[in-house]
Amino acid sequence: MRPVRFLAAFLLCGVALLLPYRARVLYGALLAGLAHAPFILFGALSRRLLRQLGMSDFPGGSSHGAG
Amino acid sequence: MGRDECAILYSGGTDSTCVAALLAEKYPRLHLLTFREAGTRDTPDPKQNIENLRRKFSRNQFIHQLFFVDGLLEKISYDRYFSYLRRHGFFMLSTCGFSSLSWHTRMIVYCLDNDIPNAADGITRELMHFPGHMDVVLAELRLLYQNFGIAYANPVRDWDVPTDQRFLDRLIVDRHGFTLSEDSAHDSPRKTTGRHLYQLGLLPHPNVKGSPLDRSMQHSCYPFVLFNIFAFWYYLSYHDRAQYEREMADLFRRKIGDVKSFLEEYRELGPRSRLAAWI
Repeated sequence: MRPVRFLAAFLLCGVALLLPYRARVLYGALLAGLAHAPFILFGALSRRLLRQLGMSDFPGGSSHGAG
Repeated sequence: MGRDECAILYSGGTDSTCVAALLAEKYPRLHLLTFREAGTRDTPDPKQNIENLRRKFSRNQFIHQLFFVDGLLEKISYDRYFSYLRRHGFFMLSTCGFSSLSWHTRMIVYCLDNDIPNAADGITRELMHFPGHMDVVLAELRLLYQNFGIAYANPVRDWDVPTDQRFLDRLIVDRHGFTLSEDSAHDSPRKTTGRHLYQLGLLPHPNVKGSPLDRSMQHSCYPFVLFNIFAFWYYLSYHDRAQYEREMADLFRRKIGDVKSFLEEYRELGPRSRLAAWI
């Protein structure tokens, strides 16, 4: 796994090194979006399933939200 | 004026809000400096926490300033780029470190313009792979500030840090609503910034990490993903932590040296300096 991660990092970072400032920011945003996509999708799926099961709040307390 | 004031690098998160609360007991006038750049454009406005501070410390004056630092960050990141690239290679992707250096630079300019002799931030011992969080880089920054007659402090540097929420908790609570139960408020008696704010009545719970409230205060930064890929997948795959820190310290010593010369020119020439054009 380590050589695979190293090679992937070499390629991803190598591209970034060649980019000017704004392009590198956009590239970073793209990578961040791709990295977070599985978690966001999983969260959306879990909320959908909880709603379908009629469990909109967590057991033991009401939703506190943003406070 | 001057002695009774302090400028704070203020993201609006728990740590910097805690520093503002601590320093409100020492300085009647606090300048809360928030920074934005292209990579952090989605960061929430820290309005709510500033209002909370003003309400709690009604005898203090909290002056909030928002600075856009893209010009300065671009300069710090790309000045003499190929020369730096030859010497430091992939470490030139340390955007997070260059970003925090741009904030420090802009804060020094603000302190010089307003005759403020004190500066602080909410750096803790989290994310120690970030250059701006490393002891050796902080020591260089302290010298940089000192060179301009400013005392730079990290009041919560050695406070405890809360345990991270478990991986699955972060997934499942995403935008759903996080139960900040009163029971767990007493679980962790350690001295954390969150606990201090909770005891002052400025937070509803001593550990809000992972909650929607925390996300509403968090610095939203895209470039850290790329930086983490470089640090953890690339460099630390085949080098140890000590080598990483040495290389990073070497890079930032040079960058801080560059910033020092820009600031010295600014102090001498003011609006006619190169730094004035970048800010």
